[in-house]
Amino acid sequence: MDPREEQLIEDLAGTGKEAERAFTEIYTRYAQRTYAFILRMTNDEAASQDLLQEVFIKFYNASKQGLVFTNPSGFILVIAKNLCLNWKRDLRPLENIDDILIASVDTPTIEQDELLHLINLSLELLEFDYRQAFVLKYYQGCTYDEMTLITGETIPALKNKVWRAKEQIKKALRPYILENQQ
Amino acid sequence: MQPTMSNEYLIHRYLSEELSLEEEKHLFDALSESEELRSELSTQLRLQQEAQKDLSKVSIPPRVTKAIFTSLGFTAPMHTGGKFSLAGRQLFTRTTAKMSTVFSAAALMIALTTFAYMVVDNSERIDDILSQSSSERTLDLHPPSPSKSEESFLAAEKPETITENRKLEEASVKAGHVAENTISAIAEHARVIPNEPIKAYFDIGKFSSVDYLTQTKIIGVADAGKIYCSEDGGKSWTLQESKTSNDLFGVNFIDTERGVVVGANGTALLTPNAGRDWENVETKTKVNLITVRFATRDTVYACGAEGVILRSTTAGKDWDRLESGTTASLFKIRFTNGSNGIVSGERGFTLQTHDAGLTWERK
Repeated sequence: MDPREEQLIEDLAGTGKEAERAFTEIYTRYAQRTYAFILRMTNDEAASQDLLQEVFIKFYNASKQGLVFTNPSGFILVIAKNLCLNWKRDLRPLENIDDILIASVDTPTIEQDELLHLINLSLELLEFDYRQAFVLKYYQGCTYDEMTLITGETIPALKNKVWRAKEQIKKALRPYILENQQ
Repeated sequence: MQPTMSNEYLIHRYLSEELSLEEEKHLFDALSESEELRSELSTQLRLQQEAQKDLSKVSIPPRVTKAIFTSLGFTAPMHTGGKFSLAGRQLFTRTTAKMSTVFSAAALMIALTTFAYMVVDNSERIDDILSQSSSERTLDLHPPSPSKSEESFLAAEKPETITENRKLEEASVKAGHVAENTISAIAEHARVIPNEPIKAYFDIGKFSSVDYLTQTKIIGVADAGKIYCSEDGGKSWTLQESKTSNDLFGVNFIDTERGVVVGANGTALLTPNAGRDWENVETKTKVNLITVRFATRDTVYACGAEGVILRSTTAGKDWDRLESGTTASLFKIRFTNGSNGIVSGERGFTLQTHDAGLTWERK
């Protein structure tokens, strides 16, 4: 671990202004990436904001318990992944028009390129594990070794999921992509 | 030539820098002969490029940052978590640098193979062109050395000492919802072989709702009063004694010990010890409760059929009904802190509160 980051973790476990400064630094470094990950995993802006809050509060509490983590960034993404999975489980599996209307209330409103927007929407087609693999690989730019530690899956399993996820999205968006290539 | 599954997969692996020289040669030969395959390469490139852009477009609303810092008793900084956070820039730069070499080479490949296809049949000349571009690509695709952060991340995979593991295990038990994510720490806690990844195997159709107390400890609720607990990430489950036969719909834990379950006919159950014991509490309603969610350590909300919203400020021991102003069934409830929350339900009905549920306004 970067010695400066080691110092940050040590300060975070302390008290007072030192802990606050350390938390601020860690938040500044990793919050955006974490939020982007959560947003792509849930496609729900309001839920993502709630979950981001939960992630950093849990991370802060964990730091106070004397946990030793050699990679805070990966650790934060693990928390985020677990909370996203939990959030998904909490969703009522009622596939009726009411649920679609509920989901549409929380549709992200951030400004996006049209194709990117379509790719983001098509993530909804993917099961959680496949979506997670695709988001970590292409949105987050993680290596497979990093993905293994975040997801707990083997590298071959992750590679397979990344490929299958890409196939599914590609199939859904092929006509649009081809049209824009002309 | 139609793109085959194996060629499409080769393109995918090529863009991930996983091909051997021989496989690359095979792919380039195929690309030179197939316009559809070149189109497939373009499509995959485009998907990856677009996804890469996403990080730079996301920014956290300042009020969310403020809520996080305020809840920890800190002062929110002026500019954090925005589009240009340090990690965001570093990640974007790393990803861009890595992908641009691949994309440049792939774009060159498309151009060269298209040109090669158009040349009058001259196998020697085509071989020359392909071998030139192949050697250029070898130089361009030389993988960058792992960054310091990657090396340290990989180093984290190595098992810690026994002393370290024990410290981690003890800490993780006290930590609340979160356990240390190193594989060795999980192994020590779950009694499995180090470096063996743990997966969640449980059947999602079995449960109405689950909550993770730690990375491997899960509580799931189902019909007829069934509450299950898994200590190994979902591989195996034990049935707990709930003392109710009502269908159960929602579960939420505030830490590794204290949790609430809700269900049919106004059922609410509390546990102070991670589900070893459950206490049935009075909610003063017979309506089905669908979702339960802690807002703070002691304040917990539940929502359900007929527009019912309940709040407890005693971690679920006593409940009061809040006036929601609707009879629509409510399925989701979330609070960002003790005061601000949102609830949503059927027919797109959404309410929000800024005063801990005393008043709700339609969103």
